[in-house]
Amino acid sequence: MNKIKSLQYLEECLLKIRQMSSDEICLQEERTGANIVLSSESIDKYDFDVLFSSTYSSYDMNFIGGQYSKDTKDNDDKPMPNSILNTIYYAA
Amino acid sequence: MLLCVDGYHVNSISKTDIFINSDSLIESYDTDWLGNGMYFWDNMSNARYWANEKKRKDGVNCLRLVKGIIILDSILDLTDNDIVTMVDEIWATYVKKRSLCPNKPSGSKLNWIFSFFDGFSDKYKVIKAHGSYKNAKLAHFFVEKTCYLDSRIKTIYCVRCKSKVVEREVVEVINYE
Repeated sequence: MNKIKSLQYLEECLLKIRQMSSDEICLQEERTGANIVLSSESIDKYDFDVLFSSTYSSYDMNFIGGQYSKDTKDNDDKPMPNSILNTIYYAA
Repeated sequence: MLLCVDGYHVNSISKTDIFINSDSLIESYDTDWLGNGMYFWDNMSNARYWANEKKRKDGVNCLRLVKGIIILDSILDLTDNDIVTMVDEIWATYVKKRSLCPNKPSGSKLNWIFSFFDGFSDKYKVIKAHGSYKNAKLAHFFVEKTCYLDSRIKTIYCVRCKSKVVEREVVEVINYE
């Protein structure tokens, strides 16, 4: 899928949710399980692991990387996916 | 032309065995980064950086670096600001309509979007983003004040569909003992 098609699809999603009422969004969340996805976010990661271990045969709860603040560097992952960085290709 | 990229992943011997010998993924149920999926680095040195981090944090003695070719024909490219702005607008519309707090980790937001919209998982099977690792060492080559290049930015791919990683192979065993 190229960028234009991707943007078109995302626009469709945006239009769809804009046209939905709050009640319709709730119904859609219940139907798709999206409400559970968000509520599980507050569960401790290790509980989450146990919660899903019966459903999935393989899983990996390790972080893929971490950004550490100086005062909490061994305790806390501070992820920072970043959109203000630009990749540059230079063809010589 | 099919767009592909080499992807590198570090994990335990047992987990990478499954990745190599079957068509399954080593899936992380993540909420902080790009959500659920198997995570790959786009080059070997970033994968080795992560192996060293695992050693430092978890004290593991042995890891294995594996590789696969990631097929990019259904990518949600969050390195593209037009795309990420649109995704953010979808999220903002949702939280406004439901009167929810908008501040959630990126992985949670993505997991929600993938669940909520029928067909989203069919459209997007790989997510690409840049991670900013400011505590990683800046390459000496870039330390000049006038230099705007940065070696601490790492490209991450999150693969959500097992068919999008092919030609899997072991690169090396990393033994810290």
